[in-house]
Amino acid sequence: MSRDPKYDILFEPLQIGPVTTKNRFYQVPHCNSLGHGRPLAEVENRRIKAEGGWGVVCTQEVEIHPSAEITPSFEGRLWDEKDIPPHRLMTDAVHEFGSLAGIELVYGALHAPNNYSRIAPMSPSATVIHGNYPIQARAMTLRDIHDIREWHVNAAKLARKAGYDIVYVYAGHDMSILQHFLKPHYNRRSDQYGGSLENRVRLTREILTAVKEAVGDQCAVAMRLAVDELRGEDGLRAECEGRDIIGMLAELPDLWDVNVSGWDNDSATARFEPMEGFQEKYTAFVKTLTSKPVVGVGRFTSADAMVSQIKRGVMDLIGAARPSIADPFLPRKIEEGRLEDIRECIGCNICVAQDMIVAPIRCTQNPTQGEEWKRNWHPENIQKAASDDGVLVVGGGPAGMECAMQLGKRGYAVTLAEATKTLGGRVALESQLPGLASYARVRDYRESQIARLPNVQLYLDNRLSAEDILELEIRHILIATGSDWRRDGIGRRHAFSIEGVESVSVLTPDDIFSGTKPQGRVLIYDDDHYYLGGVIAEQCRQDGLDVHLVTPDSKVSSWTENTLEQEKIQSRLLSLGVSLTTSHELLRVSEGSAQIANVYLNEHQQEIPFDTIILVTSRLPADDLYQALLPHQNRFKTLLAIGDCNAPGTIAAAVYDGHLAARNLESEVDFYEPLFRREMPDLG
Amino acid sequence: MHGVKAEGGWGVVCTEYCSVHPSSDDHPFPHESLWDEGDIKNLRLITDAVHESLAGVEIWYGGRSTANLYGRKASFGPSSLPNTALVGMPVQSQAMSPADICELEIWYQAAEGLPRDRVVVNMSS
Repeated sequence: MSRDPKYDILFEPLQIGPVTTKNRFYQVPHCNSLGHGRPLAEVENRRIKAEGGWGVVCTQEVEIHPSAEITPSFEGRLWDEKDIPPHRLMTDAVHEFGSLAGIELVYGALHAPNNYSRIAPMSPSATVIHGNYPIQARAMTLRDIHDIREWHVNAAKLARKAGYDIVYVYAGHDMSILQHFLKPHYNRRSDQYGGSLENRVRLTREILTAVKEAVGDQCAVAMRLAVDELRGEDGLRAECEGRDIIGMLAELPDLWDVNVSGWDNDSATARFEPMEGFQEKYTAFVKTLTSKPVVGVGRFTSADAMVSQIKRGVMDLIGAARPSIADPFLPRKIEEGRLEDIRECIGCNICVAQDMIVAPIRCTQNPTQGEEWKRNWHPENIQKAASDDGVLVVGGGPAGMECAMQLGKRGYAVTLAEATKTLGGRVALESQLPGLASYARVRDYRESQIARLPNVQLYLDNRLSAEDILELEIRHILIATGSDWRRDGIGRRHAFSIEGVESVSVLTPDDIFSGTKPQGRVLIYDDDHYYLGGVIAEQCRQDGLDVHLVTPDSKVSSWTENTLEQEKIQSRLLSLGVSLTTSHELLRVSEGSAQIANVYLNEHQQEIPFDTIILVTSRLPADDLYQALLPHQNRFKTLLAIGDCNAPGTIAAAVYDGHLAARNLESEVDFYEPLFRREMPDLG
Repeated sequence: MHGVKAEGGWGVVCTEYCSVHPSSDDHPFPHESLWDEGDIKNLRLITDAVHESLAGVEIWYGGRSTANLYGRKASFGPSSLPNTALVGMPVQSQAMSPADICELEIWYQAAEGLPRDRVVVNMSS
C-alpha cells in the first residue's frame, strides 16, 4: 500500500537553518525518565522513533551545568566531555534512519533544587524555588549572567560534538532561566536585564546570538518559547508579551518551537482538552511574524488534522510528544497508507505520571514504551508462535484484547470469549463518563486489529464456565475477567469493612456503569484517589443531583497530581457546585445518614444525610473462573490470570500484562526469573 | 560511606534494605539488591571497606509496600489490596498462590546463600 496523495505535504522536506528534515513529523523534546540514569534505554527509546519515521527526534531536557540539576529526576545531562558518549549513541541511532537529532539544553534555575550538587540555585531575583523545598534562590550578579551565557555556549559546542543537528534555546514550561527572566513575577531587576520587556528579553537574545555564533554553521538553533501561560493578566499572554517577544526575535532562531505553559497546560489531558490542535488559538499568530519554520503541538493523531495545520499556515512541522509515545511508527503508517494501524494517544498522561514519580516511561496504548532496551520489545514486531497450539483468552477488556491481538500476530489460533455483547471491558464503560471518551481508543484500535486477524475467533455474549473450558481441549488458557469494585469500603484508608455498609443499599462504580441512576442527595466516598471518584461526581452533577464528595486525603483525586490534573479536577468540581469534604474518613453508615470523622482529629465528627451513597474504594479480582480452573491446572500447558483479574490496577497495567503474557507464551522464560535487563555500574 | 562509619569505630555496619528478587523493587528509591552474581561484585566493595568491623545486610522483600516501578510486576501480597508504596501507583497487589509462597521462600534462601557476614531478615514489611 502507499499513502494517499493528500498526505504528500507531510512528507515534503524542509530546510531548518543549515540542516534539512526529510519530512514534517517532529518529535518535540519530551521527558521519559530514562535519561542519564538509564542511557541505553534512552537510546533505544529514541532509535525506535527514528525507525518509525519521525524526521526529527529530540532529547528531553538536558541539564547544562551542575548549578541547575534536577536530581532525583533522570533527564539528560551534558555538563562536560564525559557526558558525550551516551549522546553520541543517540545521535548515531537517529541518524541511522536519516532523521535529525535535536537536543534541548536547559538551565533550570527555579525549577532545579540541586539536590545532588547542593549549590544554591540562581534566579533573576532572590525568591523561593518551585515546589515546597525549604530553600530559596539567590539573585544573579552580572558575572552569573555572563557565566550562564558561557555555559549555554559550551553545552552547544558539546552538543555539536555529540552529533546533534538541532540545538535548543529553551524558555518554556516555567522550567528555564530564560522564561524566568521574561516574567516580572521572578524578574525584579533594575539593571539592563530587568524592567521593560526589551530588557527582560535581553538574556534570551544574547544567548540565541551566542549559540548561533558558536554552532550555527553546522547546527540549526531552535527557540522553544511558551507564548502564553494561561493565567490571564497574571502571566505571559499570547496577545501581549508572547506576540511582542516573537516580534523582537523573529528572524534570530532557525526554528520556532512554540507552545503554552506550564506543563499541565502544554500536556493537558483529554479530560480537559479533548480536541486535537487545542493550542492553535494561542500559537497560530507566530507564523505571521516570522519567515522561519514553526513547530507546534496539539496531541495530533489524525493525518487530516496535520495536513490542515500546514495548509492553513498554523505551523510547518507537526510537533508531537504523546502521540509519538503511543505510536512511535505513526509517520510510517501514514506513509504506507495504514491509517487504521495507528495507535492513537488517549490523553491519559500515565506517561507524565511516570516522569513525576521518577520511574521509566510507560503508555496505556503502547505497552512496549520504555521496554525497548529493558525487554528488547519492539512496538510493531513480535516473535512467531512456538507451536500450532490453540489459545483461549477469556475476557475482552484491555488485558484480554491486547493478549489476543498479540497472540494473533504471533500466529496462534486464538479464541477470544467475551461474556457481554461488546468488547472493551472497563474502557467501554469508563469512556461513557464525562471527559473519558478517548479511553475508548484502547478498545477501538484492538477491535479493528483483531477483526483483521483471521486466526483470532471472537465470541461475544459468550460466558464460559470452568466445565465449558475443560471440554474445549485448548491447552493454553489466559483468564482476563477483570475486577469488581468492593461494596465493603475496604480501601487505602480502611483495612476492614466499614460499619453498617452491609445493612444499607450501597452503590459502587459498577452500578453506575450498569445504568443504576443515583437519586437525590448523593454522597461519594473516594478512598481510591485516582480519577474515577471525581468523574462520577461530575456525572451526578450533570444529572442535576446534589453531590457531596468525601475523601480521607487532603485533596480530591490526589493521585492525579502525577497526571497534572489534580488542580483542574478540584477547580472543576468546585465550579460545578460539588461539596467537598477532604481529610475525612467514613466511620459508619446507616439508612440515609453517614458519620464521618476528621482523619487528624477523630473526635471531630459530623453526620451527612444522603439518598444515595457510592463507595469508590478498591477492587476485588473477578477471578472465580480462574480459581475454579486452578485445581485442574495439570490439564493445561498454560493457565494464567492476567490484568485486573490478577491484580486490579491502571488500564496501562492491564494492557501491559496482556502484552507480557502474549510475549511469554511458550517462551523459554521462567515466570519467576528476571525478565528484564537493568543498567548498573560494573564495579568489577 | 560505610567505610567511614567502620573507621569511626562502629563494630557492626549494616546496609540499607536489600531486595532478594527482581519482583520486589522499590524504584525510584535506590536500594541494595542481591538478585544475581553482578550484585555481589558491587556489595563486595562495601564488605571490603568495612574491614575489621562486621558487615550486615538487611535482605528484604517488599510485597504490597513496593510498586515495582522498574520491573512492572504486580506486587505480591497475602491478598489483593491497594498498593502502599511511598511513591506508589493506583494499583493493587496480586494475591499469592501456594506456589508463589514457595518461590518466595526459595528467593530468601538464595539471597542468604550468597557470601555473607551477617544476614538480617526484615520483617517490618
